[in-house]
Amino acid sequence: MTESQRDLRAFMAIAQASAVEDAKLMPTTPDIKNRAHAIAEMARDRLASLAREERAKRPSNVVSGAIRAAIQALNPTQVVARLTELRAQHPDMAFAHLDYAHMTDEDLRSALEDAESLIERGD
Amino acid sequence: MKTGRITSPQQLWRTQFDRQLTDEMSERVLKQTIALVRKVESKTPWRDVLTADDRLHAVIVKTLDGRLRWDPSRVDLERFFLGAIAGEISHELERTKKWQHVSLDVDNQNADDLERETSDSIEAARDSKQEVSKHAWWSITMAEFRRVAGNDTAVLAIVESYSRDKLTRRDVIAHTGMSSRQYHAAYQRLMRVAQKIDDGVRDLIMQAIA
Repeated sequence: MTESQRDLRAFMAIAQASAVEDAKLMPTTPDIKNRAHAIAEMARDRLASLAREERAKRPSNVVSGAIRAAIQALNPTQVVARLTELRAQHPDMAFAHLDYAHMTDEDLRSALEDAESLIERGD
Repeated sequence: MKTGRITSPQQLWRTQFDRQLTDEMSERVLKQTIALVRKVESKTPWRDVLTADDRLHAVIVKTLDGRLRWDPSRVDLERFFLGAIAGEISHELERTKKWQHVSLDVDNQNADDLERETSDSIEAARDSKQEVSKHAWWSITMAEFRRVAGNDTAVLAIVESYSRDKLTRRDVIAHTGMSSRQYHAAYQRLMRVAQKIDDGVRDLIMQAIA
């Protein structure tokens, strides 16, 4: 690394540190709030899309045919809504999954099938 | 239940990203970027052609598609984003420095002239790297910074750490051997020196590149 490059690193590090301090004194205007929200939303959308892509690639360990047709017909949002409803109705029941964000669509349906079956059997 | 919770490294990474990327964090980085651009513009002839929003948007996209690698165990997302933005500005400063002798007033010259001038400039930069770096704006600023810091060895030690890419508090402390308290006190003095050289240094730079 040359002397100039070292100077540039130090220059930018100091500018960065000063910027962090200056930003603390900068008012958060409604305009900044809106712009920051839009950027964060964009990031969350992209992150969700990445998660969906990865879930789609992941092989499911659900045995085909074990899930009833009524559950197969539900979309993931409906499955999560039903699972949430069952958890509220049956607080004593042990659910293996409390966070559905990382589950594939098939695994979500399987979880609902299991929960419905347990309730039907009265376990 | 038939499935156990799967937590691949990618999922853990995404969980961290999701947890840290709040609206408030986005606000802070946006404001830090605005302040950083102002700071660099006030000390150099460089002018940003992008908005702070564009810059933050770009580093988020690059982080998500893997062009920038964020290690959650080393640095938090807020600091990482600002560091990435600073890195991009730093590259632009270097490029601007190399191309500073090229006139971009294309209205007044034909394409051949512009191409010849550009080639000559690249050639000259190649032939005299020492000279290019000797008069870099940031070197002038850093010389002024060191002059104002005087013989404050702790402040100079932090600057020296920065120049060797030791940018975090932990890295600087490890590099300099300072105690946490010594570092904190020296960092405050460093900020005061930075504030002091804000005015005046631009005149120095303008004189140097005139």
